[in-house]
Amino acid sequence: MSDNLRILKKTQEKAKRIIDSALIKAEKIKEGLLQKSMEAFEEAYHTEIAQAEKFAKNILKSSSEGIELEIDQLLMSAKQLAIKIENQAIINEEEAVKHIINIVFHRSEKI
Amino acid sequence: MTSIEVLAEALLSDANEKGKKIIQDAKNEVAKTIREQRKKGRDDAKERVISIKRKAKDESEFLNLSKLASAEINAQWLILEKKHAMIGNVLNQVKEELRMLVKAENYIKMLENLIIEGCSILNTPKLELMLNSKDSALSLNLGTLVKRIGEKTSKNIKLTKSPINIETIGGVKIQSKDGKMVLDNTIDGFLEYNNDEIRFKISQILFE
Repeated sequence: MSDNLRILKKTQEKAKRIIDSALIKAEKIKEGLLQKSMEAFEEAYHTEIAQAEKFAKNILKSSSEGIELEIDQLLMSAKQLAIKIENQAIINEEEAVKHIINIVFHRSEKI
Repeated sequence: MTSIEVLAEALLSDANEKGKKIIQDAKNEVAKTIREQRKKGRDDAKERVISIKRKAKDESEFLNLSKLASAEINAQWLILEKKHAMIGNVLNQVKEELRMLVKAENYIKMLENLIIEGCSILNTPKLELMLNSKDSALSLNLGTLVKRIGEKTSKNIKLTKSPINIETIGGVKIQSKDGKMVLDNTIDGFLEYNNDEIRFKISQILFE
């Protein structure tokens, strides 16, 4: 075999080894892809769920805070109204007492 | 360089390029698959995410409505309790004034009228009057009372005073001699019997 052919043959063999080595590395890279795919799926799925649950928790919390404020205002208004009613009623107390006394004391005068 | 060396170099260079491409393609394929699986994970979670958010919203609305309804009831109770206390206050004042009024001169006339009214209603030949200790000491003319009852009912009755005193602001309880029939014409009895109407009337005046 001529020297050129020998050089060419050795080069081809080396080239083939380079390609084979690359193929082996590629296989190693793809190794465990199924497992990695499943993990990626699970992680993405559970992250979405966790975010939704966090969102839900925040909705409940902020809504609760909002309604507590409304309730406090409602009770405050009721207390103020009660005071107003009381103040008004005090003015009319004497009249009410007199009216009932009249009913009780003078009912028998019809006889 | 000889031509064969150039050729050899070209062959090796080509092999290296192909090798790099093979490795890069493998990396790309892995990255693409993982991206797709992540997207699939997010997509698969969508329906459950919608359900979780909707449930939270519904639960929040229900809890808020429930709390608000309770608060409104509490607010109304607060006002009702205030009104109830004020009405009670008036009733206490009424009783206090009545306790003073039964000491007045015109009280005897009221008491006599209550006796005549009660005896007329019972319409039984023998009747007994039950009074409180203060009223028992009053000089009630039973004979005159019997006459006035007779004029009203055209019946002749026998009237006596019971030795037993009752606890009352004023007024009288009348019972048949055998104790089977009793009529409560006391002030306390009147207030109790007409409690609802009295409270309603007080309420009308106080809160008009």
